[in-house]
Amino acid sequence: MSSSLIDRNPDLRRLREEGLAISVLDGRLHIQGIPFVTKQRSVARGDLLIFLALAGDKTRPPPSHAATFVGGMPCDHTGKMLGFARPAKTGPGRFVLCAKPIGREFADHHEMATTFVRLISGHAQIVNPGISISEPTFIAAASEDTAFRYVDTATARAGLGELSQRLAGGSVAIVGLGGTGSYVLDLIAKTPVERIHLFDDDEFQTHNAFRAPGAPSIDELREARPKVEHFAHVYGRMHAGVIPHCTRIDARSLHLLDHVDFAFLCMDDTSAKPAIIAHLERRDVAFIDVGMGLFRTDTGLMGTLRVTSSTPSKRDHVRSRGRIPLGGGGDDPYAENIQVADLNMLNAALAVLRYKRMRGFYADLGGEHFSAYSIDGNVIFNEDHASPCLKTRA
Amino acid sequence: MSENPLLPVPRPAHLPSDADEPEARTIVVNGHRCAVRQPEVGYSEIVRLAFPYVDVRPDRDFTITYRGGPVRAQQGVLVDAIVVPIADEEIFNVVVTDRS
Repeated sequence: MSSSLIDRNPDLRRLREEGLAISVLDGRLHIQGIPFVTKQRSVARGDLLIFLALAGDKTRPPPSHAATFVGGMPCDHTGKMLGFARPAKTGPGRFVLCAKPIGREFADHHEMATTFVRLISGHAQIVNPGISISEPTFIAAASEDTAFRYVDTATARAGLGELSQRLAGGSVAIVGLGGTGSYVLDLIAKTPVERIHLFDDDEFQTHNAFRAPGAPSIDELREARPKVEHFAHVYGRMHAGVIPHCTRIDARSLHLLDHVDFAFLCMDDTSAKPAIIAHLERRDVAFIDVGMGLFRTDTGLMGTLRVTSSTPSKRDHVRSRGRIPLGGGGDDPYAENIQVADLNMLNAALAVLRYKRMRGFYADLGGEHFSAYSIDGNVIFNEDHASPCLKTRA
Repeated sequence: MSENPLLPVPRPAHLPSDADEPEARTIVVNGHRCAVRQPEVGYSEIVRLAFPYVDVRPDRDFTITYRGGPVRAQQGVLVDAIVVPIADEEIFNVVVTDRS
């Protein structure tokens, strides 16, 4: 992706054509091997990092005139820290650089990068007049190989690249693409997981549009495509690993889950769940089952949203405490299929938050494996705690 | 919230209480007030209070949350084979959470 992004944009292409070693990583433009003067007045090489301003795959004028320098303290030819540099809070050996043309911002990434390179390397050329700006032995960094069809600049802007990597790789299954499942997809598609397998055998119909993320056109609804195809089409525009399976998961199709690393169970069919749960347990796969129950009262809708987690280290509560409805026979006598988009969305968000805490993106000091949200009091109940994941400071 | 007509209502305060009959507490089950005489309730009792008009087998598919309980059990999720002490105006929600 990195090289196609560079090819597509004249400002980036020009940097490469001028001999700078550039690559795109974690939403930032990296210019590698820039010579700078150290405190000891020797010449070393460091990297310049600039946030990429992008509209899809097209660069925009940089909104900021700050950059990061990594590799040491950049000094002038006398060994004094450059006046426009200051140590970064994000770690030793990193410096924030701040400079801009008088009375305006940089026009593009080429002007910004070359200005900083000149300001840094000019001093290196005074100390060592023969030095070349581009490192001759430099090997181009591997192109950015991400799950996305365009660069995740949001993660880069927030400085969360390292944490986001905890969500990278592997495959996630979303079993059932009703209201909650489709919102789970909406959130998982924004993580760098490698593959997202979608399972559902229903059509995407008009009523689904009112319980799903996005706003399909009437023409899209007229197509009456399978849900998995509709959502693979929409989310495939952003995430490169969305794989539709137009099938229901039941005892006969369990093998389709053989290669997933995590599963979200978001289907209404409770009778299929025991077989699915047993299969995932046999394969040591962690999963989250979601569900809601809403009912009418004189004072308005009431109900509960549920998130049940099962991980290789804690599974007993699912059966011993009946934490997932498994269609025991005594159905809710007032059962109505009431669902509302905001509650589907919240149920999905609670499930995805739980998933991200399992993966270490968010801290998990609670370790709860069962949560229920009561709408009428805005209360979350957490139970079935496993020991929290705390690291001892060395 | 409407009074549940099938259940006993609390004894009016001005009547002398019967020594054998414990004082009733009022709990709110799925938005309806119910009078309960025993000091503790369990899973199947709450299911029966929630669905008084229907013969429902209190299987284990219901999610029962409670809040506003006494200090020993202020809030939580009631599972089968457990009883909790109750407090006046304690709120119980009972529903099968199987829709997505």
